[in-house]
Amino acid sequence: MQQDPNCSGHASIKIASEEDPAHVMRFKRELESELPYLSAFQCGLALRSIQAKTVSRFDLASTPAMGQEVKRLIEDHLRKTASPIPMSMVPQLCQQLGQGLGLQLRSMPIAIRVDEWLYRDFPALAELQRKSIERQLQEAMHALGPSVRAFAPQRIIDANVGMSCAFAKFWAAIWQEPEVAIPFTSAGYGKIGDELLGLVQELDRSPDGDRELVNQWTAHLGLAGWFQTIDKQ
Amino acid sequence: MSQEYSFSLPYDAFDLDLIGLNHSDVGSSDFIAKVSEFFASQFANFGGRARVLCNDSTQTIDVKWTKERGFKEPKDRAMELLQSGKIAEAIPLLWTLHQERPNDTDAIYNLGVAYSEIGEIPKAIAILERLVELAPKHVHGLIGLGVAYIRSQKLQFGEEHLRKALKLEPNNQWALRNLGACLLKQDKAKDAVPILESAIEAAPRDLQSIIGLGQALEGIGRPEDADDQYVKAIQIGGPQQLVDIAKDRRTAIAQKTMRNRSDFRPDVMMYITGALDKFANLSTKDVQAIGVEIAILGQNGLDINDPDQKYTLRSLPGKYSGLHLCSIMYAAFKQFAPHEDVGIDFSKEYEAATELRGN
Repeated sequence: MQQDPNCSGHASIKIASEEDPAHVMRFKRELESELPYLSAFQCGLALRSIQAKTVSRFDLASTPAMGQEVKRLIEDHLRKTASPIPMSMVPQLCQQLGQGLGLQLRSMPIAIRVDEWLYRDFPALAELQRKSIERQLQEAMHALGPSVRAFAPQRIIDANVGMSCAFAKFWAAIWQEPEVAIPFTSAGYGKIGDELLGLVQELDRSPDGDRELVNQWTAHLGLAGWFQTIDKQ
Repeated sequence: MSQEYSFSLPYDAFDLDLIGLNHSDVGSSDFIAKVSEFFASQFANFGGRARVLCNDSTQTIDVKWTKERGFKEPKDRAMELLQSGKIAEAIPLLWTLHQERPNDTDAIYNLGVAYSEIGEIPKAIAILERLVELAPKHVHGLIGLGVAYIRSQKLQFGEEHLRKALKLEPNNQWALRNLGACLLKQDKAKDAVPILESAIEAAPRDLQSIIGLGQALEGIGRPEDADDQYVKAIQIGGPQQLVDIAKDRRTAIAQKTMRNRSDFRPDVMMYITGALDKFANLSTKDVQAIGVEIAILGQNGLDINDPDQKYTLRSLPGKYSGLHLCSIMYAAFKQFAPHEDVGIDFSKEYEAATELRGN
């Protein structure tokens, strides 16, 4: 377990390999109070990866087209909106937005399955889980606002918010609080949110089904030209 | 849900199918009303409390909601902002409230007055006209509208609405005070006097009414009575800007009174002569210290009409009348800042004094 202010998301886990003899979990120091839940969640993700048959284990890779298209979209967007953001920041934005979208696509559909499992089987974690999810939902809502739209092209926002809407709808149903999905549905993402969540519930729920789930989300979001699952090395 | 959530949505990102409008409606009053109603009712249906704010300047819909107790309703939050002087911040919230409830007279009144306070007078007038159309007996609305008209220099309209307010509530201090000010602006000092006297009767410590009455009394040739009002205002104290007006008016009255009594004041000439004699043995720095000390003392008002009233200085021994001090100050400033306007004109006396001393 390592504190790491630069870890992606709230926490991350790297599964042990021949080169790395131990699983390494990194987390942000400010979230230490939620560590029991974050650990359980990351372990859940790792477990699903380990439990999957070798052929089903996968990574998500971006295609060469993704880098080029994201760059073009960002440049067009900045020009079109006469954004004050300098063109010199485009490479950084490309990396941030492209990589961020890949991470979200790789983790969110499976995260819903892990969270469902934790919610059902580990009620002692429910309070910390809720606290963490509420924070994630609030963070996801920022993508709706004008500050993100100032630099992010519509296609990237649509994919990002569509996934967040599925996530919000999942929790809205679990907590029986439909209002948590309103920010996303009011911006027109209700349909894609339902479709993505439907895939989580309909497709093979075992760890072996995770790769197909990510493939289906990728296709549904129109991102098949940008990302593809590859066999885990 | 245990925490407070917030999100912003640009106008053009809202799903119009949810409220049955077209793209051409985005930003319209109908759009704002329906969006506000949509969010408010959605969250209310689930037991939540929401504040929806449609910000026309940024073209965004800002929403905050929670199920927590103690969450301020939009109206309460707007009032909190107004009371803490954050008027510009309160306006989008008030405007949204107005769109949600177009016939809520409190919402209209608060929005109109807020516009008026930040100088958006045409908007204030339009909103407040709507208010008095809806509620012709809304006294505060009539006063607000009257004040907005005064601010737009449409003084007769202002007077008309303030008089309407007074018909409904004859002792309303705000109506009386503002009507008095309006009459003064129209050079109707005689009419303003009884109005401002009533205003003071209704609110005896209201500085604006007291100073206004002083100005009205000056306007009808009663400077001594006016001076009494200014003294009263200074004694009561309050916003520095108002107290300074009272002090300035006192100085002006004193100067005018003195000039009226005689064109040339030999006593002033003698005081200046004496001061110049003293200055001959002092450094410029010392003279400057004397002049500045008297000027500071004068900020609190020097009575130059009462020879029995005596003052002392740290920089100059002895006791002096107000007129004597003013003469010394005039002479002192002539030494180190000859072009400075010290608020009193003793140029003739100064010239005579210098001739007398053979300078």
